[in-house]
Amino acid sequence: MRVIARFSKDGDLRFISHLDMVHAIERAMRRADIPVVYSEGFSPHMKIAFSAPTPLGISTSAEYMDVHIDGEFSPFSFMERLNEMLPTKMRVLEAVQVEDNAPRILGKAAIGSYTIELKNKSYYNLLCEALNKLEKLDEIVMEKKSKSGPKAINIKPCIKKLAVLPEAILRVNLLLPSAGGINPSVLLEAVCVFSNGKLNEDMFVVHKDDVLLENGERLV
Amino acid sequence: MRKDITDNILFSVEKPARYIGGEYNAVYKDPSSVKARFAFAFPDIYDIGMSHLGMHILYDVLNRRDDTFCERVFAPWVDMEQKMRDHNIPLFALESGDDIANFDIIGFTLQYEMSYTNIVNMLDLAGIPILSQNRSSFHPFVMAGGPCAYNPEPLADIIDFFLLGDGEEAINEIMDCYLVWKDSNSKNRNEFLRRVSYIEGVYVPSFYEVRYHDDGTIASVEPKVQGVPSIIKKRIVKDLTKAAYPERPIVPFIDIVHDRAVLEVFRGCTRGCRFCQAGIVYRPVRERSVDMLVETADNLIKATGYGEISLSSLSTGDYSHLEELVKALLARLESKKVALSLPSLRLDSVDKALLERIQKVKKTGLTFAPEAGTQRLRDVINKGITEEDILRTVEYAFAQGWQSVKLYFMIGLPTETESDIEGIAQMARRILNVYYSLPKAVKGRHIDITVSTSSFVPKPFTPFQWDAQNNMDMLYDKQKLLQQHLRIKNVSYRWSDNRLSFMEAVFARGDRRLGKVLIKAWQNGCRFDGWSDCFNYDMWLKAFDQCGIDPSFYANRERSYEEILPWDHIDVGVSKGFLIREHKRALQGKTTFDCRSACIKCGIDQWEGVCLNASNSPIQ
Repeated sequence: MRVIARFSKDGDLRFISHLDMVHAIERAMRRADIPVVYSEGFSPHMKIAFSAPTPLGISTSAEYMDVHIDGEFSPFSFMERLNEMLPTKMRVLEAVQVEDNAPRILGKAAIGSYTIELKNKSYYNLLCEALNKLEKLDEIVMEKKSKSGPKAINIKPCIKKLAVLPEAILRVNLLLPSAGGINPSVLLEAVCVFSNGKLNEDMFVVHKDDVLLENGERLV
Repeated sequence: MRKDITDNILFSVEKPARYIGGEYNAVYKDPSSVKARFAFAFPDIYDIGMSHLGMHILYDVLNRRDDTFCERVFAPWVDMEQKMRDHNIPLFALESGDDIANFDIIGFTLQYEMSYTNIVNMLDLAGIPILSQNRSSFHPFVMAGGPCAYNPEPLADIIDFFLLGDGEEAINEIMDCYLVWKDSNSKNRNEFLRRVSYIEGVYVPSFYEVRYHDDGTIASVEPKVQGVPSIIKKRIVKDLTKAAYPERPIVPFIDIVHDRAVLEVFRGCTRGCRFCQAGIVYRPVRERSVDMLVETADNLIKATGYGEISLSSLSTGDYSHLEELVKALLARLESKKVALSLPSLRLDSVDKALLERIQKVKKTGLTFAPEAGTQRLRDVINKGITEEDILRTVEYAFAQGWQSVKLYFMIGLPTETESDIEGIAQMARRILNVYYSLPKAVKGRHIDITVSTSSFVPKPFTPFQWDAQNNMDMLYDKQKLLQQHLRIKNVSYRWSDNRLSFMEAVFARGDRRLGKVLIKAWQNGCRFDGWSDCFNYDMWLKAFDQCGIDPSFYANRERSYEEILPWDHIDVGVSKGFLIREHKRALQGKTTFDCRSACIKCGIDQWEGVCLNASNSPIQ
């Protein structure tokens, strides 16, 4: 059978890498005695696919795994058993069973949905000013780090949704880097630039809430 | 995590997960619920320290106590140290994030001499006075153990007390003793040190007076406090099957050096290689039972989720019931897809079919440590491995498809000549010829032989403890010679930094006058000396110069049997008489057999009931 599960990684575990997170999940699977299917071949490994990496330092409830399991398991007991064996700052939030031959959905995630909070609420007005300036621009050209070095990119089309709540909280949907988009740090950099340097990136706390399909629907 | 370790700091350092704790199986206690707080300190980075079994053992033993909370502390890497100094963040324990300066006891493990400057640096970062004599009742006690503690003298001014030998039982006695002292509300540190010195295996260096001859050699080492022992005996856990074993070791998030569950099958070694300190100081051999090991392996996998378990000891191939153990483990592990690895396996001692079953997955590397290039020199060092053994094993291994061989040697061994160096190249050539002579159909497509040499460092409590280390020019010439001889296709040669081996030799056999050099070197900026990108030889030389101490006095001077050695007041169970006998046999090129077959009267047989081999028929 196959289970797709969404899980979180927050607190200090924001500072463990994607690969370390993968290892932590694999070990938790073994501790929980969940009979994950192994690949054939020279060095057998667990058949688990993961969603694209979240940058180091961002807390997330938007991590997905797609697991092949030997035998029948209710998604609920999968979730319960795994949660018992995970480090405290990682939690399975939901799990659903999918058909064994269902298409691989994790790679289709195109949009990241974030909550970005200003630590100091009194800067709310500065934030609104910067956002107003950004909104009026047709193009926002920022530098994006890529494997071949920094690259200029117009981030405006990457911003799929942007709402400011009065508690100095932003709700943002951004095209994911894996779909040609940007990480929230690039947007924050733009915000800071347009605040005339009155805001800086350290003033924000970013949480990745979920990843969505291109049409804005949830993965499962 | 502490509040002052901001995201900014963590973003700016390499591998921030080294500093966050929170790993699976890490122990968290309410500090107000315990009577004593202990910091287990490893004087190197997290990645190295977390691979060390001894830390997992003592962490477990201490945290089983309701009255004690044991946490971990590692040396922050240079980037993090800079951040901590910039932001006035003192050295903190990984679990609670609390300053270790407020703990009761800091316990360092001494795994290699070149970590000593990190001890000084960690004390300084913690805000604890570096010199023992400057600590007051506000400060923790600083203790140390581990293999380098057998010559504790270079750290005598820094460490309040040492524990020599196995820690599983002694650490509990030390905690009990400490809590009695603490409950008495005594502010007298010496009073605690006097009491703790009565525990077998504990050495309080400040209670001893060392006098020197005019030529710089030691005239006497004597207790200056009444009642403390004049000879300090190391601790031995007699029955390891019954001893505590950490069945819920901490599982790190980041890739560490040994990223797997570890099963220590036995402690000690009977081989008697004459250069090897571990082979002497961990005597006698004490094996764990197959039943206990199989059960522990099960528990370890359940509690950690590791996909690999490794058998550990000084010479795993020598375990009496290896075949039985490996079969029992494989039967349980294979179905769970858990791999078994045997890192220090001597291939000559293993059933080949068994080897095939264990290593059927990866056939990448085969490792041998002949240590010397000729049979003559291998006899001198009593390394009981012959060229025929190696050639036979590689032939088998090549035919099974193995394609790479690593060979480890030492240069600068006592009695070594040019022909011994040439012998190293000859052995590499012969192994290559074995590969070429096999039909193409059976062997792998490539061959790759790596020869590595380290430069010999004479160590205390070995038959070579009296020998001079080759000076650096000699070692350099030997490396040069070997480089010329190893210009062979498919063979590569790696050698070690002789300056580092020289420093290691100084501190391995140093006395307490070196403490000031150590502190000077640290003041000159030395730390992480074991890391080639941090090792700063010029600053070390400057420190020796500033202190008016000649390092070659310690490294390159041959000692007489009569000379009082800085560690002579430490008793590891093996007698000096035995070491002298072995030294003389070495110089005559005579080997001594493995004492599993018969007792060779190394001295440990005189300690009641600790060595099972002592009842074997004695040497005739």
